[in-house]
Formats: sequence, structure tokens, C-alpha cells
Amino acid sequence: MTGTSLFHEQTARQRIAALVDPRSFAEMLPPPERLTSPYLAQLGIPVSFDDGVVIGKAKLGGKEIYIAAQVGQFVGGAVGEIHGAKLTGLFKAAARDQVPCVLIIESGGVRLHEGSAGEIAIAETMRAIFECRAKKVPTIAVIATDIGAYGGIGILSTCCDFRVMTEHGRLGISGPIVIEKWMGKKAYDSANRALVWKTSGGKTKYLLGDADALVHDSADAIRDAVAKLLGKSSAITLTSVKTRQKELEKRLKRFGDTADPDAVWKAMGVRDIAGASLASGPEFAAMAKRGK
Amino acid sequence: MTTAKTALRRLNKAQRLERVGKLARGKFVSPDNVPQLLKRIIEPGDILCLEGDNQKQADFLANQLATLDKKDLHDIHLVMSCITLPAHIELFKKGMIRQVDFCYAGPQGTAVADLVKAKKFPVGAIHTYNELYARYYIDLTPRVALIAAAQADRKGNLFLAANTEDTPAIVEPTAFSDGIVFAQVNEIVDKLPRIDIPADQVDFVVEAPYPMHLQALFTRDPAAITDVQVLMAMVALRGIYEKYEVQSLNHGVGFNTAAIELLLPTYGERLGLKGKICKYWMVNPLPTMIPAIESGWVESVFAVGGEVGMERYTAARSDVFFTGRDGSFHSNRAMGQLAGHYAIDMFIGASLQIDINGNSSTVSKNRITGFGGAPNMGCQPTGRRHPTKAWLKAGAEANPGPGSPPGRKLVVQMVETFQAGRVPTFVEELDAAEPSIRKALHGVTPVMIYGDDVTHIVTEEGIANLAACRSIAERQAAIRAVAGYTPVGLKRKKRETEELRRRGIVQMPEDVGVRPSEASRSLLATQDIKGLVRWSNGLYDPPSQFVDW
Repeated sequence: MTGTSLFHEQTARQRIAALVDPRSFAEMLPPPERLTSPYLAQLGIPVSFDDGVVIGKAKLGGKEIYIAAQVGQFVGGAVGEIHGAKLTGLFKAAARDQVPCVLIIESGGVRLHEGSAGEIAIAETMRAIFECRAKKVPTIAVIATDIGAYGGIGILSTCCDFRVMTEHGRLGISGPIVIEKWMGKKAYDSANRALVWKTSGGKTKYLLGDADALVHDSADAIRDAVAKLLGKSSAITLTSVKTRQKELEKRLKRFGDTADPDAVWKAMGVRDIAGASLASGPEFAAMAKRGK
Repeated sequence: MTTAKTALRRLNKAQRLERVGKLARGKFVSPDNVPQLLKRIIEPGDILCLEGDNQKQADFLANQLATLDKKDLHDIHLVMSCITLPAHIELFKKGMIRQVDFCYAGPQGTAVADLVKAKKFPVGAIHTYNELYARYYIDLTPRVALIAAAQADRKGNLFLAANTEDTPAIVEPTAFSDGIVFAQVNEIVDKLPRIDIPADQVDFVVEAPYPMHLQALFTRDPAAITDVQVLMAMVALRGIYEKYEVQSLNHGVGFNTAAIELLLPTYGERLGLKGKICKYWMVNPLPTMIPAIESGWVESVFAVGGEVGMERYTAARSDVFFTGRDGSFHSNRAMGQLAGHYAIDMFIGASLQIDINGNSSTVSKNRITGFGGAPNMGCQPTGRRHPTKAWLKAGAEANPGPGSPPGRKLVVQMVETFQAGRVPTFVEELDAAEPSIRKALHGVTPVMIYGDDVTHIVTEEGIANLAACRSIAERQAAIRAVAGYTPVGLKRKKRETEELRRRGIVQMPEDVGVRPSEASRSLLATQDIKGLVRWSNGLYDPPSQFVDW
């Protein structure tokens, strides 16, 4: 047992470098171009030369891909106008060139300092993702950190064909503190880390079918999972949307009144809750009977 | 003629017990009767010991005491190790305390500083742990001791569980001087797992309506260890542990030393140091030691207290830890501190502030914390006579004079040059030297560890070997050399630093064979709490605030 580099502890550029073929990444609109947020500057808040997202082209297993990684250290990876425009452009290019697009997510959603611009940018990126899907160009979201995918980015991640998660990754709309604020500490204690991860963490999302792969917190494992999904895509049709809607209605009916996340796990066929809690991502995936 | 039966102190105890009357049934008191009983057994002018340890608190008794008023109870001379709870502060606010003698006020440091400013904190002295326990046997013997135990049986025998801590050091002097010992327990049972305090030394027992307050103090999440701390740990391992072959030691409770513990099974193994260093420990059952223990590095661990969540693991590893026959963990602060004073090669810990002479302190005008145990271990025990390799080697370096011992304990301060919020660790003068603090403490500056006792300072810049310095000026130059970009560090002179480096008094990472670019969290045996649980084979139960699964 010796330590290894954990994907969730790496920076955005380190993550891309670790994921793609050596020296294959060419960054687009890199920091020297100094595309910074005009809104943050007006508010006297420090800006970042990449506005919190790294985008570019690379190869993975010899195949061309477009790839982006959000920078959680910069305003929590939140999406502003420039950040969002970079993502929109990347997915549009993917659709145009019929090249798969991978998004390494680390974002709480829209940047509050430029709310409207951020909202519009996320909506435009979603539209670009749907363009990809209409053309059967695979789109894959990787969610591997505790900043996770929340707010608009949580929704955006579910617009992609597939989601690869680790047990550290979290996926949701409202964050734990917001839920606690509106529902009360009795309903949802945001300081209860075990509860937070059991409701929004990678394991539960995999169990419910929201994540398509649950892997080790390492670049190797994530690369393998992404490589397997690169050849697949699922086009959106009216029928597929209706089917998904039915599934979600069924889930709400089944678990909507459940206050105990362990009950959800049990109902999904997890027998040994303590063992499953302690298990790593892939161990859990092996022992869990996954359902929709 | 005075006989054992008529000796005044014994007579006085008998009168107090007489006053209790029907408030107790034998030794047992119902929770509702506690305030009334306290009023009857404590007299004005008493030395009262309220058990407040580093982790364990007699909080029910403290809370009941705080419901009383000055008219019920006054002129109390309070003696206690740690001022920890709001109830402790309440006693001062109500004006019940004539004098206080204590060791540490970590969680209430700000409240204590406020009391000092308001002149409501009549302090005798701030002590180190063993110093205060020693005075319990000399001039601060309690008349009444309010203590905390895990369980009592029907006779009043007590079981202290993992957190024995200070209890024996409080009970013995009290019980053997006709004092009154009153214990709160979590539960009363028919049979105890083991007897730690015999019923003969206990006067009253109450089953508290809630379990005693017990703080998890020594759990360090590996996820919060930084690459810089890993670098410092590598430098310390090579430049001190390896160099002196440190076999017996105490670790402080910071992230720096946690990094060292987690490097042993990886980096330490690679350096071939297993079996050569870090075999005998005086330290609490630190969760971050689990990988080193599981990798066979550790022969034994004696502790001053327990740690929440380590109960099942320590029971399973009774070959390493001291346990009762049933496997239940045993600790003892007085004996642990004694062991840390006399029987270890090295003490290594951190501090908030170090001055230009190597004195350290955690006290400031707005936060009076005090000491605790570090000074008992972070000092030179000149009463020591037994040699070890490390002791002799460190001694030879210090160039002992004809009237000095041949050996030296390694006393190492391991600090980053800046604390959180860019506050410099190194300063020309300690905040603790502030005149108002000195005045409140009768002219004493509350120094945690004196510069004369320190042998090494380790920072992210390198190691300063203070023991090898031959003058005060040289020691100051050595400290400046490792003080980085703090105001103290910026005053260093390049020529002096180079000269000290040439003589090996100052060592940079590369001088001890460490490449800074190699320092990475990935070297740690595990990067998170869950990894510790896995290393323990599921026997470690981390407190809930550390669990995200």
C-alpha cells in the first residue's frame, strides 16, 4: 500500500495532462490570451487569465477529442460569461467536427457576480451539447471532486450522454447548505458529511443510474472509463425523453418520502450498508445491484 | 491529645459528611440533589479541584456548580488542568473564585483573556501538567475533587475507560488527605470491566443525565496535509530521525508530525529506516499512526489520554498499546508526562510563535491559552542518567562543559515560517511578553518552550541546529536562516548563513538528501481518513465529523 496521485487533488491542467495521450493536448484560448471577466474586474475581484476553465483538443487512446476542465480553485469553478462562452464554443466545435467532447466538471454553477450572463452561457452550452447529441457525437462529463457538479452545471452534466463519477464526486442542483437553509437542519443537516455524500455522492448517483461509471479516484481509471464510452452515444428523441421522464416519476414515487439514505441503498439491493460505505468506487460498483 | 480520630482535618471532613445527611443514599446522589450537596460539602476558602482534562470533562458537576451563586459558595481556590467549558468561565463571572491555578485554557483562551482584562481572573500561576499535579501533593492539595469516570459499580469503584488522563493524579492526593472525592459517571453497572479507582477513595457518585464531554483532539485528516508539510517531514526524517537514530519519542498533534507518521511506511521504508527509528512512543493513540503500526514499525505506545474512535483498534492491537485485561485502552497523563520527560530521545512539536532566541509561545493579549504538556517533554531532563545513541550524539554536538550531563534530549520545533492568514511564526519578541500579561502572571512571561531547551528548528527552508551553536549571536543567525520571508528571516546576512551552512548548523533540504520537487502528498501512506479505516482493517471508527461515506 503506497500512495498514488489522486485525481481530485490535481489541478485542472494536471487532470487534462494525466487523462489524455502524452503531449497531445493543445490548449485553445490559453492564459496568454488573457480572456478575463469584465464583471469581476468592475467589482474589484481578482480575475483569472483562463476565467476558470481550460479548453482544447487532444488525443485519448489515439482518438481525437475535445476536452475541457473547470478550475475549482477559481470562484468555485463558477460559470461566468467568458467561461461559459469557452464551453459553448468547444461543444459547437465538437458538433461541427464530429469529435467527442469530454468535460471535467468542478463547478457550483452560475457565477453570482455575473448571474444573467452566466445563466445564458450555460443554456447556450446545453444547446451545443444537444447539437452534439443530435449528430450522435459523444459527450462525456467527469465528476470527481467534492466541489462536484451543482446548480446549472449539475443540470448541464445530465444533458451529456454519459457521466463518469468517483466516490468523491457529488452531483446535484441545490447545494447542501442551500437545502438546509430552505428546509431546516432537521430535514437536511449540511454538516453531516456522511448524509451529504449518501444523497449526492458518486455511489448513490451510480446506484440510481445517474452516473454511468463509478471508478477509482485516479487518472488511469477515469481514462479507461472515458475510453470505453467514446465510441457510444445516445441520441435524444421524443421517445427517449418520455421514457426518462417515466423513470424519474417512478423514482420519486418510490423514494420521494424516504428520509433515510440507507433505505434507498437497501431498496436498491445493497445488503451490507457499512461494508458498501467503506468500499471504494469500483468495489461498490461490483457489489451493488444497479437499477434505474 | 490529638489522635487520628480527632485530627482537625479528619474532623472537618466528618462534619461535611454529616451535613450531607439524607441528600445521599450511601455514596450515591441523585442528579437533582447535586447543587444542594455541593453547597454542603464545599466550604469558603477551600481548594477545589474540578476535573477538566485535555479531553475529558466533569461537565455535569461543573454545570451544577455554575448554577450556584456567590452567596452559596465564595472564596474558592480553584485548581484544574484545563479551563475548557463555558461553565468554568461562569464561576469567575459570578465572583466565586478567589484564586485559580491551572495549565491550559485552549477553547476558552479568548474568554480567559477577557476575564484578565476585566480583572476577574485572579490567577496564581499557569503550570505545566506535572508541575500542577506535583503541587496537588505539596501546597495545592484539594479539599474537594469533582471528577469524571465512565462507570461506577454498586460499591463506588470507578472505571475510567480509555480516558484515564488526570483522574489518578487528582484522586490520590485528595483521598489520602481527608479530602472529599465526588465522581460523576456515565452509568452505574453491576460489574466493571476493570477497577481504576477503588471505592475506598470515592465519597460520592452521581449517575449524570448525559455522558461526560469528551473531545476528539488528536484526529488529523490526512486530506488536510499539504505538500509543504510533506517536505518538512522528509527533511526532519533525514536530518534528525535518521541522523540521530531516534528510537523513543513523542509527537505533537499537528499536521507536520502527522505527515511524518504517514511517511514511515512509504518514504521511511525506502530509506531502510524500519527497525532503526520510531520504535517506542509516548503519544495518544493517533489515528495517523495506524499505517506505521500495521507496517510493523512500532513496538509500543503509552498514552496520556485516549482518542475517540480508536477503542476497537487499540483493543485489537494490545501488543502495541497498554490495555486492561479485557483489552480496554489505558492512559495516564501524569505517568505519560513523566515518561515523556525522562525516557524519550526526542520531543517534536509545533508552536504559533517563536522569537529570535528560540523561545516559543501560544499566548497573546487576546488569547491566553497556557501550556499543557509540551513543556514537560520539550525540556532537558537534567535528572536523566541512562544513555541512548541519540542522547549521546545530541549531547556530544552540544559540546558539554565539565559541569554538564554528557547527553541531550532532542527538542525539535517544527513550524512553517507563516501561520494561516500570513501571520509570521518568527518574531523579534513574543506577544506573550506583553506587559499586561506579565503583570497578571506576577512577572512571568508564559513561554511554552525555552530557547535553551530547543535543539532544532525545522521549517520549509531547512533545519537550524541550535544545540550546535556556540553563542547567542550564532543561535539568532541560525534562526534567521530558516525563518524564510518573515521580518525575522529577511534580516539574515548571506555570509553568516553560508558560514553556518558550511559548518552543518544550518541545513537546507538538499544538504540532507531531500529533493523538494519530490515532496508530494502522494508519498503519504494514505491521503484520507477512509484510508486510515482501511489500514486498520475496519477497526478504526472515526468521529462523524470526519466521515463522508
